[in-house]
Amino acid sequence: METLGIWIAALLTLAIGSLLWRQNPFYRLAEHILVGFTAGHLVVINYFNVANFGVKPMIKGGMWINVVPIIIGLLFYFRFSKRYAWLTRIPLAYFFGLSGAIGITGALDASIRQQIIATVKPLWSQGLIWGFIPALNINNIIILFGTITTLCYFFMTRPHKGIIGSSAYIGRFFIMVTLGARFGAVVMSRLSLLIDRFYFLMHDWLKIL
Amino acid sequence: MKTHHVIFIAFGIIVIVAMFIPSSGKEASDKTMAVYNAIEKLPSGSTILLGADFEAANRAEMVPQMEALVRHIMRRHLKIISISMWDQGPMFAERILRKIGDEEGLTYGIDYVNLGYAAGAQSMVRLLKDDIKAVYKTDFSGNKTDDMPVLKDIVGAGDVSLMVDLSDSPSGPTTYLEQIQSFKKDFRLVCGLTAASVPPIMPYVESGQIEGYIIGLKGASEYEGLIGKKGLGTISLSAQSVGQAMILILILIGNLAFLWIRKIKGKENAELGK
Repeated sequence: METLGIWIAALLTLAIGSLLWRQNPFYRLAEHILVGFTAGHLVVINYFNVANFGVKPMIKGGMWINVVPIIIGLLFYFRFSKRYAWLTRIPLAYFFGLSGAIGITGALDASIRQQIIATVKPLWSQGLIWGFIPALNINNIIILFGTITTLCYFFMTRPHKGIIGSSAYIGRFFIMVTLGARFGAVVMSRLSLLIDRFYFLMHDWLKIL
Repeated sequence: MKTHHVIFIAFGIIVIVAMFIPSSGKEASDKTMAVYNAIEKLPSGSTILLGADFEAANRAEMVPQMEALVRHIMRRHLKIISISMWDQGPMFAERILRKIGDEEGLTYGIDYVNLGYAAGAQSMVRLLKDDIKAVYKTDFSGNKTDDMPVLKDIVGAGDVSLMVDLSDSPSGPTTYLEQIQSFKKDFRLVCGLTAASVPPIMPYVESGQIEGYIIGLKGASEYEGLIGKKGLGTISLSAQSVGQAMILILILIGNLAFLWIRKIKGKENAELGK
């Protein structure tokens, strides 16, 4: 059974890889299989979500309060009716409200307060150079300078002229460096995927590595 | 055959050949060492929350990391509670936990458990913080969690000694920070990340909210070196180096060609202008 699985995975890998040459029926077959499996998997996962967390506790545990979220969820299906489509706004409002409340209360500390604190760091290190020049903490200066200039770039309520314009211009370079770092990281990630597939083909399938 | 076909074939051949070049491993970076030390310094019997927050598409980077980390955790006789915010992660966690658990002679339900996937992301984690069993009434295999010994001393996710989150997206660690650490300041977090997820997570490491991280296959190879067990990370080191060098050379050639063509066109336009 394991051998069969390896052969199927290997042939599908080759079929997907064949797109690098040009569009072909093998690639399209593999693509459709992937889409079909993904959709099927999501249906099963969501079915069991509703069954295990919604219906079962209600029937077996007497948690009849679960009727409320189930009904709110079912309102989504009214999008298929032109007359009653407005009812979908109720679950949407519920989701926006809930996500906003939970997300913002958590993010206020971890992603805003703590990050602001992390930006406010000493610009001088302990000790003196040659006994009288304060030693600068270059990293912290770059963090502070980069944060301020990048924020200026996204400051849209005033025209980018004068000091704000100059800061925004410098901020653009910090953004470009960040995007470059992200691009490099993505290249590294994609190369790992390629290596994994080659390793699978040569080690698990052909057994030559 | 077009130019891009030549590049693909050359790239493929070079990476395949490089995989046959033996590699002795790589010295661990500070961030990888921080992850290793966080696990190494925990008292035996402590409980670790393991987040399997990745999808099959990123198994190449996540599975070698997970294997190395789980092996280290199990060797140290620390307990593992595995959870996931994504539906595909638990399948990998199940296979790796069972395999390494058997190798290390550990028992499912006593030393480790795979609780599987729970929907809800942020709201699920907020509830998980205070009561794991309220979210997970059964584990991945359908066993009831009520009387599982591994969960006996742990009520909420905030009670664990350390969380190791293996995530293919920056939203994994940030969700745990926002929904658990925001309310429980002693909640400790280390991560295993895909290379693409690292830049957005770096500010959280600099601020001390995340103690350390391992990056992609490179990080996996470093960790394999630390625990002395070779895996895909170490095997692929030569291929990674050669592949990255090849990409750098191609980018350089592409840019030089672009400048050269622009120069020629500039000359032609100048001559036409005369």
